[in-house]
This record gives sequence, structure tokens and C-alpha cells, in this order.
Amino acid sequence: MHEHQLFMEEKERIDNLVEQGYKITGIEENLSGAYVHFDYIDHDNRNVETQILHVLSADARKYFTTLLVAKEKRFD
Amino acid sequence: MADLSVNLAGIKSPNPFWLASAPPTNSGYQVQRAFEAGWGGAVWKTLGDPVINVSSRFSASTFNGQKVAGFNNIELITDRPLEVNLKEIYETKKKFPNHAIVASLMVEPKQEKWHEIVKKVEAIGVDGLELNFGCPHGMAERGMGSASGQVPELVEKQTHWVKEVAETPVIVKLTPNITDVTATAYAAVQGGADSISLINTINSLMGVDIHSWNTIPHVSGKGTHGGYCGPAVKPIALNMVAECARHPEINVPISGIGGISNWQDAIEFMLMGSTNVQVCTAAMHHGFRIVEDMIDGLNNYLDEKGLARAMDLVGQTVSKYQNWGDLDLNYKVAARINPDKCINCNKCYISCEDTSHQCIDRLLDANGKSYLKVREDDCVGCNLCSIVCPVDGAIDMIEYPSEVEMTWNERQSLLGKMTIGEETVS
Repeated sequence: MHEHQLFMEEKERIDNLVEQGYKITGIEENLSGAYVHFDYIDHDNRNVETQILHVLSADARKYFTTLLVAKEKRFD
Repeated sequence: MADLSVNLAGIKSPNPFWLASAPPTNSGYQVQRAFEAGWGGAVWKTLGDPVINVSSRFSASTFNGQKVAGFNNIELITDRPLEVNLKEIYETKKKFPNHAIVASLMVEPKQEKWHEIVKKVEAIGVDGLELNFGCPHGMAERGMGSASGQVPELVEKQTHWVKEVAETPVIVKLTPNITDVTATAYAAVQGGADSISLINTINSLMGVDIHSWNTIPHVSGKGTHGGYCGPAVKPIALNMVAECARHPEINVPISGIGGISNWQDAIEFMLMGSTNVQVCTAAMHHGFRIVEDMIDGLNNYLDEKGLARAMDLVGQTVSKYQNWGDLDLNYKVAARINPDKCINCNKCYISCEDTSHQCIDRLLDANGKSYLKVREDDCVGCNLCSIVCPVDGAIDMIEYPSEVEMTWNERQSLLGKMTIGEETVS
């Protein structure tokens, strides 16, 4: 599989969760890549569901952190 | 015409092009011919207790028809008595009062030895001193040259001894044969150096003759390591200059040395923080008159850039030289092959397929003619295809500026806040 194809698949999974209202709440990076914790938090501020994505490609690991950096920079 | 004159720690010269301490500056005859040709300054071949040199002395690497891609020497410092050199320095300075003459010095690491030679040399009227803590061969076996230059404490101490008596600016010439050149550069500054110069030559063995099994060069069948210089060392030298130039505590002017062969090389060194440049191998290869092109080229460049003074170039690129962790991960370049110029040699395809990221496709057009195309999404922008391509303009590297800049250090800082099990950011 070409690297870009893997990236596009992983990006789609990330984008889907974000579109559904999930937020990245934790990240664990190790030799196997990144495990990204997405939490969906309801209106009562209770955590109702957590999804963990295992992100392999370098571009996707760059992508989800870029989303976070962009968000931080917007709030600067 | 722009003002080409430079001022290195108080040493003024009509242009930034100096001959480095080496065979071209062995005698008054040579230095005077060099000044007549246009060189702005010269660092006299290193003075010290006279040595006896061997025969043979030089060797060079030829790479794909490029003669003297690298140059190696096992010649030591001057083999002439100090008084002979001083007399010629005096005569040369008298004839060329506006040109810079700097005396390179090397003695044993003893205070009285440094005091003695500094006083004798300054009495004759030099513009500055350059302490040779760099030569890697021969003298190093006797505790001098790079043997001193590899120990920061010795660099600092000897610089301090020189500064105790010196009345002219003191340049400390650094060896590249060390892991971190900023350690010795900093030591020189701590010792009171007015300037640093780098790089001296790199430890080298040019080769082995596969027929005689002798080293190249050899002296009656035996060889020894030499000092490597010339165009091949330029990237190493430029990095070391840059590392010193961007170091916050190395705040003295730099004299850049290492493979400088033309005006473009000189400008690169000046942009990266060198106030002037020293040249040796190119002059040994092509003669003193190469300086004419250097002067013309620098002058025209300054005019084109609208700059009035050569000194305006000094250090302009230093702030662009950063740690890897401060580079933008989201900036992207990707290769694009220009089919009008591509000769279908397939070198790019082979290099990419075998040794990089397999992002060039060999395709056939509607007429059955083969062509090469980069899958730009898969291209990581390594540049390898454009490096190996034999045709200028056949491969362009297209820039894709980032929408959100993110460095590795920013990313890791963010991740540090979001590590599982610790307080998180939502």
C-alpha cells in the first residue's frame, strides 16, 4: 500500500470522529505508533464514549497533532 | 562599485579575500605576488621553531573528472628561520601597507614560548596574529596544533597567554577534528580571542595504491595521516562556521575557511557569519589570479542586491539556521517532472524506486511513448530525483507552504500535555 493511501484512510477515521463530536483527550506514542483517545462528551459533561485509534502513518500522526496545534493557535 | 573592504576585529583589508596560512604564503615573494593579483590579506605560513619537512607532501582526489575535489597535505609549518620570515613580512608590509598581514603562530604550550614569539613577531609590524591550534599532522605528535586545539582548557590557556602580551588582534584558528567545535570556540573566547577562524584541515588518508600497497602520498614506502581540505570539505566547514555564528556566547567575528573556491562560496560563508574568508586549495589549483573573478563576482553581486558594502552580507543567514526540532513539519515540497525536458534516462525512477519512497511511475502515453510521473501525494520531498537528474530543469521541486506551522518541538510540547494518565486538554 502506498503511504499516502494509508494516510488518507487514517485521516478519514480521524475526521469522522471529529465530525461526530469527539475530541482528542489523550495520546500515547510508542514504538508501534500513536494511540489517540477520542472522547465524546455529552451536554451534562459526562463522558459517554471513548474511541481509541491506533495511528500508524507519519502523515496521520502529523495530521492529528496539527489539528490540536491549530486549535491552540486559534486560542492564543 | 560597492565597498568591498572588511574589518575583522580591527584588522582592515581592502576586500574579504585572504590567503590562508599554507604553502601559498610561505614567502615574501609569494605574498607580494598575491597582493599584486588582488588578494586583500594573507595569513603567513605558520611561524615557530623551524621544522624539517618530508618529500612527498601533497595528494588530491579526482572525482568524475573533477581534479582536486579534495586535497591532502602532510607538510608542516615553515621550515625557515623566524628572522628570515620576519624580514620578508616587514618588506611586504612596507610595500603593501593597506593589505592585511597576519602571522600564524605555533609553539609548544608554554607561556614563555608564546610570549617570546608574539613579541618578536609584533615588533616587525603585523596586523594581527592567528594561533594555529588546528594542524592535525606532525606537529600534533609534539603536543602542538590540533593536539592543543582539541582540548578546550589548552585553547583557553594559550589564548590567554598570548593576550597577556599581544598588542594586535588575536585570531584563534580551530581544528575540525573534534566532536563539537563550539566547545573550543567558546574556550578561545573565554581566553580573550578577538576572532576565531575555521576550519583547519581534517584528518585524512588520501588513499592506498592497490598495486604497490603504499599509502598516498608515501615517503619512502611509509605514510602518515594528513590534513584534508578543498571543495570536498566546504559543507563541513560551513556547518562549523554556522554553529559558531549562531552560538549566543561565541560573540567574536569569524574568519571562514574550508573549500572556498569562488565568489559564490565566499558569499555563502559571509552570509553564514564570516566577516572574511581565507582561501588556499583553490589558489594552489588555479593560481593567485582567481581572486580577480572573486572580486568581480562579489562586486557585481552586491550591486545586483543593492548593497553598498560587503560587510552588509555578514551573518544574514545565521538566524535561518536552526535546530531540527524547530523546523516546520507541515511545509512540503514535492517533485514534478517536466516532460518537455526529461530525456527518460530513468535515473530518477531507479533512485526513487530502489532507495527512496517509490513515488515515480513509468507510464505510456496515448501514442505508446514512455514517460515518468511523480505521484506527488506519495512524494516526501527528499530531493533525490532532482539531485540525480542529469538535465537542468527536468525536475522541479514544487513548494507547498503550510497552513498551520508546527515544529517537532511544538508537537512534543503539546503531546506532553496530553499523555495518557496525566491532565488532558480537550
